[in-house]
Parts: sequence; structure tokens; C-alpha cells
Amino acid sequence: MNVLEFQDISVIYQNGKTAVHNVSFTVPEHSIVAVVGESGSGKSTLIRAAMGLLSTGGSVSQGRILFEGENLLGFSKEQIRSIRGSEMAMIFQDAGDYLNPRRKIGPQYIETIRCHIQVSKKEAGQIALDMLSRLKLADPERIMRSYPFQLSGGMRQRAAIAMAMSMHPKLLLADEPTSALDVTVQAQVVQEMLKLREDMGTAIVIVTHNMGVASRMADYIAVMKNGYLREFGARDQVINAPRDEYTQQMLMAVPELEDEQIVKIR
Amino acid sequence: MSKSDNLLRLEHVSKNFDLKGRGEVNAVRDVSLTVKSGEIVGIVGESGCGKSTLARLITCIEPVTCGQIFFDVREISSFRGKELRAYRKQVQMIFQDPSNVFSPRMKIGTFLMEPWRNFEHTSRPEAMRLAVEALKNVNLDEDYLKKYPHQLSGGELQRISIARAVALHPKLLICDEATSALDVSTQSQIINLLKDNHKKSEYSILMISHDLALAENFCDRIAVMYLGSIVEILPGRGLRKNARHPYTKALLDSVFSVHGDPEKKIRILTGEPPSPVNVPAGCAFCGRCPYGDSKCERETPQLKNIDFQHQVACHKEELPR
Repeated sequence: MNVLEFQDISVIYQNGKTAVHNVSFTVPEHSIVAVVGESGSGKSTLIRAAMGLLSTGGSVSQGRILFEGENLLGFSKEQIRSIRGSEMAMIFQDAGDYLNPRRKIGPQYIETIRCHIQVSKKEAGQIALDMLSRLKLADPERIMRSYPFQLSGGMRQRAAIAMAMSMHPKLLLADEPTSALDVTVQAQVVQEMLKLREDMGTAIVIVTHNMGVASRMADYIAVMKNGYLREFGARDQVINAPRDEYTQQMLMAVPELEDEQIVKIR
Repeated sequence: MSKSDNLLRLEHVSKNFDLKGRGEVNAVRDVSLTVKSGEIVGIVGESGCGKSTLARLITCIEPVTCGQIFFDVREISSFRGKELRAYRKQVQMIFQDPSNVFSPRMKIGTFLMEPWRNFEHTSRPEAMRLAVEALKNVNLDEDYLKKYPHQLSGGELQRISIARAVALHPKLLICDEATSALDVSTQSQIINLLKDNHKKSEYSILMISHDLALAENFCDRIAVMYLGSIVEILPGRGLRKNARHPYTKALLDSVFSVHGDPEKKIRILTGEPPSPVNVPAGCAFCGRCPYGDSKCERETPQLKNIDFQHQVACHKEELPR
């Protein structure tokens, strides 16, 4: 069963530029798909289209996006609202930008939960605390009492992941979730996303330009360039035996630590 | 100058920023480092470790709080007027985001002529000829002279920044995250360009980066910074093999290699770096270090030589490799 399916998707922006050209691939249940590519490749546009969050003027000009077999593009606003957040959730590059700077994390978090499930404030608070401690964040009570600016970028990102995961969505869309983070924090976030898949079977689509992260996390990798899907395949095939010339070039360009280079030559 | 001479020498350099009654930020703490002429030295560390502040101290953008910086045996804090101008000609810097470097209303030609117009009082036609040469040096043709910055990509702009920085044959080039805003394929082009150019003209490079793999591919020696101090200086090859300091190892463990084993367990460095405001004595990494003990809490470890070109600041002599 596929959680998400892109069928011949094209996205066009108001200025007449086509950002995504005829992209098709599927995200099987419980799997992690990494969409990689350089800036301007249309990778973020693609997952924003799935979430119904294309920036102003962007629209899907053809194709279908199936979520558990149903075409998302045919949904009414109410239908989209009922699955967005609870069935499919999204995290962004700098989660801090998406939090209200004038409210503490706690109330924002509780409000988010109560938008989707009918629970009391107290119960929602408990769900939030459970999720935060599950993600191994130190001192969840303090996080709930903090304003976004009182947390480091890594903590905010992890708090945002916790928020996105509280409704146990079947699908998590992650748009460059680690790109603004330091390597040690990036490792924490990657580990947490992997753990979510393990514990709850969440399927994840991660958009990233970091080939290392894609290679570590993904079951399948989609390579995009200038809006076209250049290659889609299982992780091992794309990393070790890339068929597309562009994929090969991009993999060659990634600097690697010395002991890994030995593997590369072999 | 032969390769053994020190071009740049930092001795116990510290920089504090006053928070007006709320203590002070110890951005750089007791850093000693040398850069030989022709050498490429990398400074790596996470955000907030003071690596960019260090670059601002070396370029005289900020004065040091204490300690001394020697450039060609002369102390730079005393430089004023003409001397400072001459120093800035010899020390050039490339920044992370090239689009902030260029004036949006200035054509690339005017931008590229500036070094000669400002420092050498070259005539316009002559400066223009040199600008074309500088463009060729970075594999761009003269059509670019008439363009505006917004017409060019990040990679092209970064090439032009490099062309201008090396125009007057500086002795030291400081690259502050010069490629981290660029895509990987552009990054590798820029790095190759810098490598080629460096081979031809023998200046030293101080490369500030958060990317360990990139630093290993580019640098002769690498200094690892944590909370304002250098915790380890090691040869630029074989980082994983040579790293001794627990923080360096934790950094290396956090790098996801494309060709690494996807089943390998991720080792996590827990916690966050302590606040740089009023840093107490003792090892800054102590709270997150698996080997920390009471001595580490009390005494600040000093950099000690442990091998050729290899220094570590750690109390634990016998660390597992």
C-alpha cells in the first residue's frame, strides 16, 4: 500500500515558469523517501504541492497526488483541513519562524493538538509532554514554559518535530529539516526521525540537499534537477550505482572524509 | 619566504564583548595558532564557537581584548593609517553570502577595478585590462564586466569575489564559510578554483568552515574550536584516524557520509554547548564529555604537542582512539 503517490505532477507559478515537470513516484507505507537536488530543482515545491501549501501563484497544472489512494487535489478545503496536521504533517527548515514569537511553546502546542483532537487542555498538555520526552528532549516542562527565542535552533526544530508527530500522522513531510542546524544537532534530529518511523511506522518524505543525510535515512531516493525527476530508486542503487549522469556528478562533488573515500574508489 | 616561516601568529588571543552590566561574552578565549606562508589552515567548529570572530580579529575589523596577533613578525594592533591600509591589502577575506558583498547598483567591471583604482592608483583603461585578466583567472569571460550582480548566480558571484580578493596578490586569504551557501557541485568548482589559484600564487589560506569533510579535502592543518578555544589542532589528512579530543571525535561521528554504512549506529553528542557569557574555568567540554572528571571541572586544559603537527587540549592523556 502506498501512502503517497505523485502521478505525472507539474507545478506552474504565476510568472509562467514551470517549477516541476511531470514527476511521478510513490512513497510506500512505513518507508522514507529522500528528495534530493540543488537549489531551484523544484524539490520543495513538490512536497508543498502535496500539502496544499504552494506559495502564492503556484498551482498544480496537471497530474494527481494520491494520499492513501485518494486524490488530494480533488479535496474540498474542509477535507484538506481534516487530514492536514492529523494524517499528514509537515516540518520546515527553520521551525522557529513558524512559531509565534510572543507565545510560549506550551500554549501553542496545546492549541495545535486541540485543533485536531477533542481533548481538555490538561490532556493535551500531557500528550505534548509525553511526545517531548519521547524525543529525548531534556526537561520537557521547561520547554513548554519557554518562548521560542529562549530555545536554541536545534531545540526548536526538535520541538516542532514533536508537534508534528503528536497526532501520529501516517505521513511526515520534512522540508530541509536539518539544513540550518549544526552537525551534532543534525545527527540528533536524524536519529529522532528514524526512531519515529521505527516506533510508529510513520512514512517520511524528506527534502534535503545533504546527500549524507539522504543516504543515511532513506529507503528510496528521488533526484531532481530543474524541475525534472532525474532518477528514482532504492537507496543502495542510487548511491552505489547511479544510472543518471547528473546523479553521478552530484555524488562525485560531495566532499567525503578520508576513510569513506576508500570505499568510493573501490 | 620559505614554507617554514610563520606568516601569521596568534598568541593567547581573547575577545570579550561587554553586555553592559550583564557580564561579558567570551567569544574567543586564549587562542594560539600559527599559519605558515603557503599553508592552508582550516578552522572548524559549530555555530557560536568563535570561528568568525577570530577572522574579524585577524582582519582588524574588531580589536583584540588581550593577546597579540603577529603578521610577518609585526604586531597588528598598532597598525594605523597607511600601515593598516597596507595590511588590509595583504589580508583579503571572502564571505559566506556573495550576494551581500556586491553593491546591487555597481557593475561587475567597476567592482573588479576597485582594487587597482584604490590601492595602486591605476588608470581606468589599465585597471579595466587587469579586471579582464582577473576574470579569466577565475574562468569567466569579459562579458561579465557589463553585468549587474542580480544577473549572476551565487557561484559566479563567489568566483568574482575570489578574483577581486586575489587581485593584488595578498599574502593571506581568509575564507569565512565561502562555499556553505552554494550547492555541492558549485562548491566543488569553487574549491577546485581556490586550489588551482593557490598552487599558482603561494598565499596562505585560513579557511573557516563547519564542514569537516570539506576541510579535510582542502587543508594542511585543521584547528577544531569549541566555545571560543581551540581544543585540537591536527594534520589535514586522516581526521578519523588521528582525532584524539572527545569533541573532535563527536563532531566526526555526527557527519553522515554518503557512502557510509546506513546500518551504522548514530552516536549522539547529548546536550548543548554552555553559554559563552562569563565562561567558568575548567574544560568547556567537560559537561558533555564521557571522560570528564573533577580535574576537568577545575583546570582549563592547555594545548599540548602529542605528535608532529598535532596538539590536543585535554587532561586525559590516554584517550581511546
